[in-house]
Amino acid sequence: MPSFNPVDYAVPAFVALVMIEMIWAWKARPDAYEPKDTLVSLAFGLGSTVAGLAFGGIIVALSLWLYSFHLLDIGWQWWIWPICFVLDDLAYYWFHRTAHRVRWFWASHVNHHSSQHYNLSTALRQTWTGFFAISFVFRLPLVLIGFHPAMLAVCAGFNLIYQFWIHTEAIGKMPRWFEAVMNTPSHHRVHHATNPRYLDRNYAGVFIVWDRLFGTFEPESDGERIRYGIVKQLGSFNLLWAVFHEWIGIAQDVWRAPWRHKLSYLLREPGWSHDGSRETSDMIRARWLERHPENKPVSSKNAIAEHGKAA
Amino acid sequence: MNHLIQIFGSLVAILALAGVAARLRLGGDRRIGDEAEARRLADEAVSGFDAIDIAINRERTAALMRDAQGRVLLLRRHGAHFAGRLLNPRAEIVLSDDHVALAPADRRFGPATLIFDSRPPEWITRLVTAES
Repeated sequence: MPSFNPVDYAVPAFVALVMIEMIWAWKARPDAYEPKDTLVSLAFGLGSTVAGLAFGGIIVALSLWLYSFHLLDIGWQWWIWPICFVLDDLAYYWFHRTAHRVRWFWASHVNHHSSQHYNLSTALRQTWTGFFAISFVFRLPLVLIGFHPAMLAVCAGFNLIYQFWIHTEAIGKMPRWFEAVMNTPSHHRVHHATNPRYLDRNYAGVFIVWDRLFGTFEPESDGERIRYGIVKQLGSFNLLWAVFHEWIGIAQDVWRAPWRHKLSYLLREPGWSHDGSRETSDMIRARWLERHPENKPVSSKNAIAEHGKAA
Repeated sequence: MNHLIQIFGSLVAILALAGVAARLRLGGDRRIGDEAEARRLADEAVSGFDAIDIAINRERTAALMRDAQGRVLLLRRHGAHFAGRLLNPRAEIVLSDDHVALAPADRRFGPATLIFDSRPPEWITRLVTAES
């Protein structure tokens, strides 16, 4: 299997762009960065790389084994690549949506959302426990269809590279045609926001059309200041706590819960509790809408969102 | 070997970037400007928390707030932002003249000591679990 990984070549550009954004922050928005937060974000990135080296081989072996059962001989023609990229991005959308709606997957993905800042270093705040959470299963259907795992790995790499530049407050909005099709800094700021209106919206990786299609799109509102992070902010720069806090929370909840509710603490949405003592994002949004009925979110106008409660 | 070089290079880059952020004094010195800002920060920390009693510490880096339901929120600076926790009955609250030392039940959030210009308001003194 070819070992080309586009992310390896992008890392120097990541470092340079973080530096450039820091200079922008120094000139215009000093609060856009915080040294300890930056250190934690970058340590997340390094740890994620190490975790990838440790467990990536198992995922490759599993993917190649599954590929031996593939349904179609898709091959390596040039025009297969863009199709693979688009379908991989669709798989990413569903992974990402599930990662926000099922606590087991959220325990890993929450790492990426745990900063109260939104800058290019936040993009590098990647999970250490993605393998443990079996996040890779969302790409396996494409392997079974017949896309070679190496092709998928390259597409996934470019997908990750694309998502780097959208983690910034330095860019306002892109041209309308671009905002309509592509994920952008504006769309992704909404995704990282904890404002009730924005909770669990805009799951897209590269193409925002998936959110528009599946009823989870919410545009950035000019009049609403965004705050970033998670509903219950960590309030700590302890790296290990940031990495494992949700896994520890799951373990504690499963231990304490009555038997019939134990599994729900793994599979229900973050914030769910069997005694109603906590709030999910849907509950927070519903309470907020009761207080502010004039603020009907765009996504609630979509019939699919009404059923899916996504996001 | 390539992987080791990659990891070592990343580590150097991480420390360099964090050093630059510190050198440029990014993050600033965030303080709670007034009660209106404290109220807004409380709503951000716990959506829907509408503070009716507010006590901001002398340094303006933390506050204790109470809403109409009797819930008490500890808000404190975290880097360039603020984070908060509702205090449940398991929280330890120790009063000493103008100091209030708090240890929320969520130990990872960490303890906080709030120093006020004078003795804290009555609604806070009623919360204390011990005096020193």
